[in-house]
Amino acid sequence: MSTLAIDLPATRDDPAPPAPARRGRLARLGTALSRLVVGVLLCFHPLPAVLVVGWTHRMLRRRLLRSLGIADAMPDAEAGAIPPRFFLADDPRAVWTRPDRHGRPPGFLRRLLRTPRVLLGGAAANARSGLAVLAGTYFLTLPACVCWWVGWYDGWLNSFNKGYEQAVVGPATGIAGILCFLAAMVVLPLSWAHHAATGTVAAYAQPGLMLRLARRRLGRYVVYVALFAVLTLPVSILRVMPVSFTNLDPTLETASPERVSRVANAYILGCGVYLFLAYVASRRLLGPLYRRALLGVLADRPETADRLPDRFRHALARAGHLDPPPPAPRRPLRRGAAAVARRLVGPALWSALFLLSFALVAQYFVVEFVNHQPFVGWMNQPLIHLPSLHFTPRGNG
Amino acid sequence: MATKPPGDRPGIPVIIRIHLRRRPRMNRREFLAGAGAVAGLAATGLASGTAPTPAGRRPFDGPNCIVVRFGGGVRRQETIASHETYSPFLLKELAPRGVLFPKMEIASQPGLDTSHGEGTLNILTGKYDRYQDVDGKFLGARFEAKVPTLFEALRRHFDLPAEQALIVNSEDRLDEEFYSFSTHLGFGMNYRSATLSLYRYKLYVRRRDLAENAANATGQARQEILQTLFELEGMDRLGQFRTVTEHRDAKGNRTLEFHPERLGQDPSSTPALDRFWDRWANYYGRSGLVNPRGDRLLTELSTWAMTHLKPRLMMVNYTDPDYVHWGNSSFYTRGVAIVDEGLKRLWEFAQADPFYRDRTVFVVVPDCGRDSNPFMSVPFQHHFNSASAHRIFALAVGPGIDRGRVFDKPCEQNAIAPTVARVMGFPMPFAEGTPLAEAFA
Repeated sequence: MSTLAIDLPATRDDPAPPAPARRGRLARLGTALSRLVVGVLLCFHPLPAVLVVGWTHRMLRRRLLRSLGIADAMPDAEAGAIPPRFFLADDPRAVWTRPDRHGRPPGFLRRLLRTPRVLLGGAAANARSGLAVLAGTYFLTLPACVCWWVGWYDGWLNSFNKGYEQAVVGPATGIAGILCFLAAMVVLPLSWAHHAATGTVAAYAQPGLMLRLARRRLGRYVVYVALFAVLTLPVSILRVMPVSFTNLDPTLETASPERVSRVANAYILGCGVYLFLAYVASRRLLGPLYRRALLGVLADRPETADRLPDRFRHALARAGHLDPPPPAPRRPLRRGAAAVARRLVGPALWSALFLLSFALVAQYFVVEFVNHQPFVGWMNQPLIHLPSLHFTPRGNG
Repeated sequence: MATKPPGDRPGIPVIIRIHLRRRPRMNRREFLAGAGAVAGLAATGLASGTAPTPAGRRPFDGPNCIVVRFGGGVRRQETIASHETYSPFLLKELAPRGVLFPKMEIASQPGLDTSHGEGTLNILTGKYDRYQDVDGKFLGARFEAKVPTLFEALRRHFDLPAEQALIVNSEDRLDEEFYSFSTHLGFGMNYRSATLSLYRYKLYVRRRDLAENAANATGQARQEILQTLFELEGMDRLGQFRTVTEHRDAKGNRTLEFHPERLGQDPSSTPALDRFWDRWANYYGRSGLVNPRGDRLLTELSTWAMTHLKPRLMMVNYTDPDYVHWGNSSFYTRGVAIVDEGLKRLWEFAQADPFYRDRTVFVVVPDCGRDSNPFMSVPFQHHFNSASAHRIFALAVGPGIDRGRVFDKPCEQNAIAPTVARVMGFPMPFAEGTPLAEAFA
């Protein structure tokens, strides 16, 4: 039983915040379309794509906080009734009309000074969140990316030293990268969700907790990684497609730089449609998985709550999630059968998880073998890091 | 002058050696080589235990020819089409001395791949053909030419030993050692070229080492030595000549047996080549790690060959520019520069040797081009049949060749073989290309 459950009374029966009036179907469609357009434009280049990362993260955070029933206990903007925006402050009116520290309504000058925050408050929040997500993601994946990058470089040197002497360096570094990635993929997706739920980037440094969450919903986690691999497949195809451009239109081989640039930009923009949707979907799918895994672990092992950030833990306690579960009825036979099944199915599911993660690695390698992009090709996997397929055409050499 | 048999091991007919190998199944190459020998014997009436000798073979009196395959696969952009070339010697020093064909191409035909094996055989046979790896290996390039190569045509016409019709190959391109002869009935293995490569050297050294050491070693140590050579010989894609054979008793136990009596009978070697490798071993040791690496090794082997073997026709199959594909662009440009250095050294070496000076035509030609896809960061593939992969060039320099001329019209890669044949004065009846008449002064 959590001590917090004693200190902080549950507030499950508290009145929920008033729900915003539901908008019409057309309005929602318009909102979705405008988000799509902005998201696609932002995915054009890795730099603005940081905003997409941050926005998606904030959307996931909002979704998680609301589904956990702790939105009111977390003072972030994401927890509010208005979904995050790409550029504007999430609630421009609130920013505009917020009283000053003396409780007086803001004057003209103050409102004027608040204008940038109103216009770009969402962008700033997205950038902050995006950079935090990237920092955490690279904390887990940078070893793999660097190993691949170095391994690729050194592996090609083998062609020159003909397999002698340092021949093992390239392949060994590449394999080390694969192992690092497989290890990272066990915890990375749940770390994204954990980061979103707790609001702290330290979530990426809790592999033990993530492993516990993964184990709690291992079957569904495997399904998630399978979906992630499936979502990545079209991205891989989009990354290798430029190889066939000159076969489809041989005049492109000698096209002017302006034409090459036009075609490349149009292609990158087109790729953004899938990339944006796939990126958002890959994060959205995490919400229910994380929530169930977290609540399941807290029910099974309440002491796990001690590993959660204070604010998040308090909020969960107030929402009644840290209350001790009712004692399970003793059914030794059924429990024994379940334990045996777990022992049998568990290893199979872990194997499946590693195989599916390896399927991702295989895609990354195939992409590089068909259309290698020095450095970026290894350092940015679009559905993991920055959702952008931007490349600078090399030109005719 | 008395006509010598073209076989390199007088007294042991090739056909007999092949049949003595007792392999469970004879492959097409052996069959055709054997059939060629039978046809040769029947035609010449020679059945006295020597290899077939067509009548009328004349001594060779030049000029010599050195074919430099500017491989594996280079684009015009980095070689001849820019003043900022990575091959300055080729473009700025050698080209003004001869005739440059900047618009040479590989024909676009269904099934015709623009790759190294195919390109090399286009150059050697003067005929475009569809090739498949004889073992059906994925990405394998063990191709069989159906029409005679330059080496066979030369040696059938002139009285030359194998080591004077020479291929110099990379160590890791064993498939390319297979291009030294065709399956054509009238030509084939008896007129093959000799091959210089680090693989051949290692085979030679290991066999010699075994002859000395295996007799002294016993038990497991002996088996390990034998296993090393057994594996090395298993990589030989030319024939199945082995000095180490595998045996299994009734219980299935495997033993390896060394046959020292077979030393010196390798049909892919000659006594002159054995002496060559002895010299090489004395200088560079036996490890294979002291000698230059990559394409610099090919240049070194070539200059050694020019000193000790005096080849009349030598093809140097440079490869380093191929080590780019999806790797690092700088590896490619570095490879081009290394080939250019090699070309310069070969040229200067020839000019310094009275045997080659003013008696040797250099022909420089890539095996294939590479892609020129402006949308790719590393656009250096050549398997996707892009127009750029078909675009190559050629340069001919030497006695009888015009000077300072650029033939700026399209021509074909299959013209190289008939051109070389015309330079050296032998017929190339199965080549489909026509000699580059514009090359000649």
